[in-house]
Amino acid sequence: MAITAEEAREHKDEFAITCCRFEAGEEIKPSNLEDPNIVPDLEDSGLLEIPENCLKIGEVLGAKLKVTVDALTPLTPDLVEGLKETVAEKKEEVEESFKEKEVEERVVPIKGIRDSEYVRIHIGEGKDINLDIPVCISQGFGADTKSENIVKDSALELKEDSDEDKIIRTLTRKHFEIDEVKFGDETKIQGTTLYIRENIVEEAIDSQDLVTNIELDIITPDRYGEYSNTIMDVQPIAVKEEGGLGEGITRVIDGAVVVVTGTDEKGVQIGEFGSSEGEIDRNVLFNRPGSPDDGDILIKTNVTIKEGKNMERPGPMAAHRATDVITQEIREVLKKADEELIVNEEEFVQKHRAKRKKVVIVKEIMGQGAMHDNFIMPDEPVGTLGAKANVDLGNVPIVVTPLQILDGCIHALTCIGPASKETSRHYFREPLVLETMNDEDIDLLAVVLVGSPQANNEKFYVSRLLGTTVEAMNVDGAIVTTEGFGNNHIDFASHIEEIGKRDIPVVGMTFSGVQGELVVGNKYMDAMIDLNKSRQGIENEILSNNCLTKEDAKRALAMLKAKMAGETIKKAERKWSSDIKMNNIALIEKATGEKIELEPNETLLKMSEKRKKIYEKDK
Amino acid sequence: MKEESFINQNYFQGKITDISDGGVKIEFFGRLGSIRIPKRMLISKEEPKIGSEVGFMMTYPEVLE
Repeated sequence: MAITAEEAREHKDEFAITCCRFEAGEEIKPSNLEDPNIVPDLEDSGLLEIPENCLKIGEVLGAKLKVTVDALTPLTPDLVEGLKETVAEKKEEVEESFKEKEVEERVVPIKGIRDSEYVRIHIGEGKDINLDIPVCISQGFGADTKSENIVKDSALELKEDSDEDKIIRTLTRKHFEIDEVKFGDETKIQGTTLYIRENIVEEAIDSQDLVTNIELDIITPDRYGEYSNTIMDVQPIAVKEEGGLGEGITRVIDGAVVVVTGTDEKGVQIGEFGSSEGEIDRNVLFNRPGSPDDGDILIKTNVTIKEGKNMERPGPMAAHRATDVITQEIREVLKKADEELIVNEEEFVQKHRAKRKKVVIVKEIMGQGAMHDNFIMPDEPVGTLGAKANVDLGNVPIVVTPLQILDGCIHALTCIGPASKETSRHYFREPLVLETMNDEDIDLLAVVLVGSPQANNEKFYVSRLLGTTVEAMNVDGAIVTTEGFGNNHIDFASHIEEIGKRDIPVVGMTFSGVQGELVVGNKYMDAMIDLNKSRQGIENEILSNNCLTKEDAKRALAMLKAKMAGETIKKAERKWSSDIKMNNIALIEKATGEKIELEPNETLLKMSEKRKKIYEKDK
Repeated sequence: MKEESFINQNYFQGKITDISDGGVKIEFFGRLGSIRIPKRMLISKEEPKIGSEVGFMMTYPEVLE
């Protein structure tokens, strides 16, 4: 089918193929040309064979057909006359304008000379007069030339391009191994055993009005097959030994995590729509950044809140805060634990990589209230004390350092679809931040957190602020991620547009698949990574199934680097298919020579009743 | 008669009758029932209010065998 003038401009570097039969002498216009998007299909079906000397669309427009040609004829130089020499000219123009720009920038004059102040001393007649004048004033007495020198020296000089690698700050993580958790008289760490005070739950329950009961259970791997209420969060147990979040030293427990679960008094799960209740080993995808690892001991709270309060913001917040009373007591003993118990020390380095492409990561977090909220910047890693909820902060963009993300500056309250929810532990082990921070080709500047409000007018208000924030960072590229799906895709699209319209290459990452098909788009959303890993492309309520993992991070970075280098990303198919991801992985592996481990999905788990009845009746 | 699919998108309208942080209840006009959806499935210019009218495309639910 013929194309429009705008499409012709967009595809000026694609091959020029006629769409219909045209007579000799006719001027070649977009309406004579076939849509380049379907050319690959035509080639596949054998209807079309493109010779090497086939001209491009940009070259043939305005030229004339020398001979009559049939439909689907590739236009080669022998068929066409009056070709314009546009391409070469354009290149020269571009180079020249660049040169001009360079010259202009160097000749920036700096103005701003302060007038010297005069001190007039008139001595009519005197004897033995000693004047003691403070040095700062005497400098102003100098002759004109002298003062000019002074001013010149203090004038702002143009920066020399002596950009060097620099370590901005480091974060050390000390790992303490725990292989047993027991109840005892007091909370303490003895060797590799963690004791938790037996009656600690009483204080936890008392701490929150909305909490009526808490059951504290220690789930060892042999009990993974037991039933659990919906998992509201998975949290590492970590404490600052030195410094604030994102710097200094943090101590973390290996082998045990805190898991927050619960219902209201009537037994309704504290989850919005979609919850991960059921047998743990059938409803949790282990070994994701945000989920428990196989072998972890789960220190699980089962919080009961007042009836009906599960659907309102204070309810889930109370469950998290009450659980944190227990975690905080463990933090305190971890802080004092013996250095000899350290099994591993790792160092995270925030580095300025000179002359590399500057990149910012934008993480859209839920902010519609209730179970869509996050506590930001607590005093302790993944704590609640000292933190503010991003909904209360108006969901506005918040700039944090990559190390602060990895050091637990986010305590996640997000009870959206469990398969795509980013738990607290996810941020503690954020794969995209880690991959980007350690990529030698990239200079990661910061992570910007931006909440997703409910109402459109607020969404766009926040998005505009994000645009300015990213603009001020002067980046060469950006990656925008979001958890969950739904109306948050509206701001997701808007954020990408705000960044893209400032001529910054941007890659988007979200769960989409079949169920989360993007309802809105714009021309800047031409480089997207789908986080879906489920077989059917759906939200299947299995914790962390469709979350961001290392393989997604690698694909996103490869896509961003391609875009920053000026390459175009091929368009997506209209319907979701897992083949596209496999193709991308193969391309990256071929180019880098590095094997990318694919994450497993729910097919690895035993089928739960819920999956059998609701989601996978076809199996 | 050949088996055919009755997928036909219709435009439905309704009113919001309940709002909580966890979800929104919409009652269809025309006594066609009600649905309850999470807030993130609702598109709105401003904060949704009880009594607001909503519209959406829906096919008649068809039993899958």
